[in-house]
Amino acid sequence: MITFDSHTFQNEYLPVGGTEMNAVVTVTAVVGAHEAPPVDAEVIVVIDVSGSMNYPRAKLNAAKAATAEAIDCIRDGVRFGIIAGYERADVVFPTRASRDRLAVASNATRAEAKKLVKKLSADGGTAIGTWLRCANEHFGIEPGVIRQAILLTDGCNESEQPEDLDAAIADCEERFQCDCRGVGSDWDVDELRHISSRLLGDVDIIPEPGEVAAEFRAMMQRAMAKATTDVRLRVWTPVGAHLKFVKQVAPELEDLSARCVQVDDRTADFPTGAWGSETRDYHVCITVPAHDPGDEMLAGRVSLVVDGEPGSPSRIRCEWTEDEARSTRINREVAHYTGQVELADAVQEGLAARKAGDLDTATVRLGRAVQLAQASGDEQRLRELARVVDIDDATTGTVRLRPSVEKLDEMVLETRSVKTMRVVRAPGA
Amino acid sequence: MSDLELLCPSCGAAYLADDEFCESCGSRLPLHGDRDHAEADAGTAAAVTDRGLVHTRNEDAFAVVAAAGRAAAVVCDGVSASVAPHLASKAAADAAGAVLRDAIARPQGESGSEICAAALDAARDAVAEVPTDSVDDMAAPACTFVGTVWDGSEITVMWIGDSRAYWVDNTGAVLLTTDNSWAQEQIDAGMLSEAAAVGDPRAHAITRWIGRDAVDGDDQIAALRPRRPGRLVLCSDGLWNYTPNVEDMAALIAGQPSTLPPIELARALTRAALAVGGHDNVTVAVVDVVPDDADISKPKEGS
Repeated sequence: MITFDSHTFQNEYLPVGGTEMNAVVTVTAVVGAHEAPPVDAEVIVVIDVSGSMNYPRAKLNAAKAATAEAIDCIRDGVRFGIIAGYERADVVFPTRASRDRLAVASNATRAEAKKLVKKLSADGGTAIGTWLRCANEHFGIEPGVIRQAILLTDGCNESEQPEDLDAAIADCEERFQCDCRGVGSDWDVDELRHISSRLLGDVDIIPEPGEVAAEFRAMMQRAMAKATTDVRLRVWTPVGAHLKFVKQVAPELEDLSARCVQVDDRTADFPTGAWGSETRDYHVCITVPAHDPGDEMLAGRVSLVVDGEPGSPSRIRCEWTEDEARSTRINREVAHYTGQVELADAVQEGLAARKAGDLDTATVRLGRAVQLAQASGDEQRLRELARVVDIDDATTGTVRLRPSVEKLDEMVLETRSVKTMRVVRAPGA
Repeated sequence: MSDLELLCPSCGAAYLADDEFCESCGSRLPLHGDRDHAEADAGTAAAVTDRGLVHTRNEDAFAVVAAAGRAAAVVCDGVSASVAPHLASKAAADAAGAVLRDAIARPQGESGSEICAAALDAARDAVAEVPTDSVDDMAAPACTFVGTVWDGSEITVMWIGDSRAYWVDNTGAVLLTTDNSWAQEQIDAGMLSEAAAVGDPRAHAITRWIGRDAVDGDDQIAALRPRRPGRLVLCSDGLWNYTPNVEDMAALIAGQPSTLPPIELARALTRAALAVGGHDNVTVAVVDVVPDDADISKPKEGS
């Protein structure tokens, strides 16, 4: 049993003439502690066995060991499969001889799968679209089943045209979710982000091969903890109002606007995938027609549709006032996440400017990123930034670009730019 | 019923009684809190309702009519635990009032009990039609009902819930109704003493009401052929809470000048409830009853 609870944070007061209402909606899901996850699940691990995985040799061995660890985390009864990807895709397990699409996890099948993974060798190119299509063919079609792919690569999608990859992603959308991990520094952040974003997963960098195993274990455990297959954020807006954007702002930034599924004239759904026990925050921005002071209106209603069942909605209200002390106060949650979005933008734009050779812009933007990270107490981000810039004064954002920067450090910063700090609330608040 | 159609003042879209905001344009909808204090004076029948000093809106409603020696009155009290109780009581009182107005205007039509039953039926239908969005009928709009008809010779009272009717003359007061309340049921069943039942937190929970989720039960009717002039006093629990015993109510009424016209007596009783706290909505209807053959209307000779 999974229960959802949502809260809306906003300053409902708008100044006279004000037309934009911002709110942060926090959604917390709790899975009953003593209940076995009731939901049927299928999981496929896709590992890169292209030639580059041999350089260094440790990379392939780490990927194989990590896959074995992930297999050990698969709950009995869950259907699973292992795909090895190069310019083609081979189903390593279940074997063709078994004629099964996927194998049912048990001590015997897990042991057999691990034995076969151990034998893998690396050779050839990288065709991620082909890998995804292969996974798609092996996932089932019954409704109400959680379908999760875990994809590891160390390189760019060099053996396919971008259109091939796009077409493959389109086929996989709403079929399964895919979390992507890039190991080392030879893969393309935008490419993997594009895949994970459209397949409702996340992306991260694994800088060192030795860290793959722990990451895979954690990913598989998260996949096993999912308790519901399809959760949608539903936003209703009245006639005359316009939904400007819906963004997930924690744990990572993700603009959901492109995922919008119109339910009727005033209602839109935004798929958020499968959930376990977790909290996610959303920033909803609605434009409304200006009203007279004292007027009040409902700017929107946000609810969750869990496996097709709509839950009770929370309201986004507006009230117009001439009292500027009320209307100019920015809600703490909205302010926090507006800052987090600006931080992500500053990091991404700073890195892009640096790559393009525009060192002035890079210095200004990365300086701003340092300042914002400092302001939100984001120690981890400051450490990552300090590998790319020398920080003279974090509070003012005074930085100097480092003359030489490890590509890996840059990629860590870029990949994790979308990760946000949750707003800190006082105890009991 | 057309007068039950609720339309958004901003955009004209229809809305439901349990909506706070317009489902079309999002505007804040009126709270229907326009019954903070209302009075009606039909001469021999009159009524007053007041929001009281604690509640944010008045969920009581009434109707009074009088013509040619005949009169009728209704008091309804919305069930707070239901959706839109203020609209339920208003719909019930308006619908019952319309039936009573017709009946009182028709000389020597149906009997008092037939008129009361028709008024109650109309009230039931009207409450059932209050438009709401509630999926479960547990919270369906609901209210109490007490209605009375004085046809010149007989008083008839019908009721559902815990709004009361008293007959008051110069010998004292009689409670004509029996509350459909938890406390009254305990007392009737011999489970608890009156003091214990009335002191229980559940005492005021009503066991019957009108609304879509109402439980069926026999019509509750009382009739009285008065021999002397007197008054019918109908009230919601916002008044009788302060005088639960009939003796106390008799004393409260006896404390008012006997020459007060019905509207003044209704005002005085309402003020009395407000003076001691006004914890609930207060509604009082008063009907003057003067029998044609009243034997005590003339002072007895030699006494």
